[in-house]
Amino acid sequence: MTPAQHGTDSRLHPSCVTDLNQPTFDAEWQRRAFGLAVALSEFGHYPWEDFQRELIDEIGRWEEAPADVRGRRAYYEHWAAALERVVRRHGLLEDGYVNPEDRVDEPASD
Amino acid sequence: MTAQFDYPEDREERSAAQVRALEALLIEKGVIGSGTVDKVLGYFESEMSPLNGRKIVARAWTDPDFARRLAEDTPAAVAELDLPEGMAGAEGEHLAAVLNEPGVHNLVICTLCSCFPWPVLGLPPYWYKDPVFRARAAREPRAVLTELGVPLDPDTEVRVWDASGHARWFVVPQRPAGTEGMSEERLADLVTTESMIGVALAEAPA
Repeated sequence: MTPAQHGTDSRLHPSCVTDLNQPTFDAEWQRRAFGLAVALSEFGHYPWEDFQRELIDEIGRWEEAPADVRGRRAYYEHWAAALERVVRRHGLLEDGYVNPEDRVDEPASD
Repeated sequence: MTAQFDYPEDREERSAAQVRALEALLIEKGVIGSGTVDKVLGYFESEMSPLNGRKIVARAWTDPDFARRLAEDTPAAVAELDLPEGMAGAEGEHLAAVLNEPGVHNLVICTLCSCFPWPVLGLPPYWYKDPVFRARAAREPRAVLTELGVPLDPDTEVRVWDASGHARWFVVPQRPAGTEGMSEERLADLVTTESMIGVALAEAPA
């Protein structure tokens, strides 16, 4: 892959061509946020689409906000916010929440 | 809830604390075990890697019938191969292969949320989540591919596949010239993650 020149806003972010082997996460908390969201979905606490919808909404709110107030883009901050929302929405932290594997004769919550 | 866009200086630390608190609360409530997140991450980092995608592409290059089945029903074709357990989880049931061919180049993006075919490609590269890449690849894929060093004939059609919850696309690049008679194992070495996203071609043999 040949490196492209950069310098104007319309150019790709330099990371597109120079950081192909960059680690996926900048920090351990991002890695854990990723793992937590996937783990909860894999163990049936919510369908992945529900998390995805929250993430799309979070990113959408950032993209629609005026550039001078929204601050820099931070993918995993949106991810963390989406995770909190989907956990609350599905009641995982409410009293009386029953883990999917312990549910008897109960249809899926969605 | 505080104002939506009131981002303090320390917002990264706030997100880190938010994630730590969520995990701790979920463990305390018994929703997950104390080792659950590490287990899932370990599985992702060891088993879900581009190695899987490379094997799939190499098989498609050497077995045209497999390539056809892969295009028609990707999860079923993937299940034929000896890949790690659990390929059907983690959104593996939504895998969908698109095959490059003479005159057609495929490019995978996710304009909404950067979702990715984890089971075959592992975790997405850093730049895949870049909003400039996402927006421009959707709007002017040919220009983006040129900048990334992918030479396309003007007659080649560029098909852009926008990932979503219901389809996690990956590209089967074209088999490079000069690879006749190579083993699947050697062919797999020519397949890069970038070529399976469509931002590069498979490498020519050294």
